[in-house]
Amino acid sequence: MTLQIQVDVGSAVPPYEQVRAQLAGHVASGRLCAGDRLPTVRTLAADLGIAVGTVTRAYRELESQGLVTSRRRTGTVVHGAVPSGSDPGLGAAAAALGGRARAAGLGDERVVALVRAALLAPATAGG
Amino acid sequence: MAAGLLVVVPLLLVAVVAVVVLVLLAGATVGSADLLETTARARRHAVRGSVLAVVAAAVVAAVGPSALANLHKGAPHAAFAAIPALAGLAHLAVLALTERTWPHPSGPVRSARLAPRGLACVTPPGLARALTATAAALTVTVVVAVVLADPAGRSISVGDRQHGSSAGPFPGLPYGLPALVAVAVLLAASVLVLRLVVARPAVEGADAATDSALRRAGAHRVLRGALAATLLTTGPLLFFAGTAAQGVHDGWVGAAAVVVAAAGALAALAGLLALTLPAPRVPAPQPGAPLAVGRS
Repeated sequence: MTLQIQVDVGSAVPPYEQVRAQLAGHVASGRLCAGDRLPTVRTLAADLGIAVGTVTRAYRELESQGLVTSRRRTGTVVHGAVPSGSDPGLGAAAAALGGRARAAGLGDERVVALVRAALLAPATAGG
Repeated sequence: MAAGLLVVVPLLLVAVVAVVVLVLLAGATVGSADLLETTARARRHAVRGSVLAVVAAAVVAAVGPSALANLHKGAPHAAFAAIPALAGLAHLAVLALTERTWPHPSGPVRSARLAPRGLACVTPPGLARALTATAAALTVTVVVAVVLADPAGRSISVGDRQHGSSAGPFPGLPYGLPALVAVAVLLAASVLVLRLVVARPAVEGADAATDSALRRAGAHRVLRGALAATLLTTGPLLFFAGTAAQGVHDGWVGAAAVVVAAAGALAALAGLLALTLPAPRVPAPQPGAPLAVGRS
């Protein structure tokens, strides 16, 4: 199956962040593996109808996170997922959350807000 | 003979252009009902560009000889040999404009496939091989003709001035060099336009197979025009080389020259036929197939 990303140009989230977050998600989930080549900046920008600089910024941020590497000859290649810690069940739990959110008809931003809220909860309790 | 060519060539061009335009328009109307509206619109855009490209090439091919004849009354101008490639460049220029004005995604929510694409994905291998072989044949023809031609490069001679014989026109340096340079520019421009075909936006709502078929059709049009122009450059050069050589040689060399002239005539005919090679069809969308781009 061909992977896709979506950009909502009417969203409050900047388009570069939408591109970055979705690519990072594909890498973290293993759908994009080490060695996979990403489309060129110009190709992705043309298909999404957004500025070349927007995709360039997304790719640059992914590179600074160590998720991809860009080279003149090979283009942008997935470097591999950043280790998610010692708990191997985290990925499965995230996938289950994603599945339940989709089944409930929740949008991406709502799910991310729920996760942020869950992350804030222990800190509030502890503080 | 040159005056006769000035009459026959434009008439032949009008006939070929009429056939090509009819073939292209027929291809555009068949099966449009099965396609998404965005895909049908993109295909209409491509066919419109293709028809205009053929017309632009025909205008250059029709006006070029008479313009050169007016400039150089008497002997045919050496740049005659470059006219097919110049017509091919006009064809490419319109196709490039078509790719640059390809419909862009316009909805608020757009999507893109993460599959990288390159020239190899869209270039029809058969046409690419035929174009490479024809360009190589042109190079060999010009190099051999330059070696065999008189010092002036416009005829071929056997024996000395008093007792020998001479025949022309022969594609020495004055004819061969402009043709070779023009075809080299044509090939370089073809690669640039192929890159535009690869880089242009995917059609909104089209599945991956449809988008790929539209790109392959675009690349086919680019290479079809370049191949026709290269064959129409190589064919006449071979024909005139063979005819002139047959005029001054007897025996097996003369027979070989006849074969060369016949091969040239066949190459020129193949060049005209190449213009009618149909582009790959765009398939009807498959239910559940992954989108190439955007939904709103």
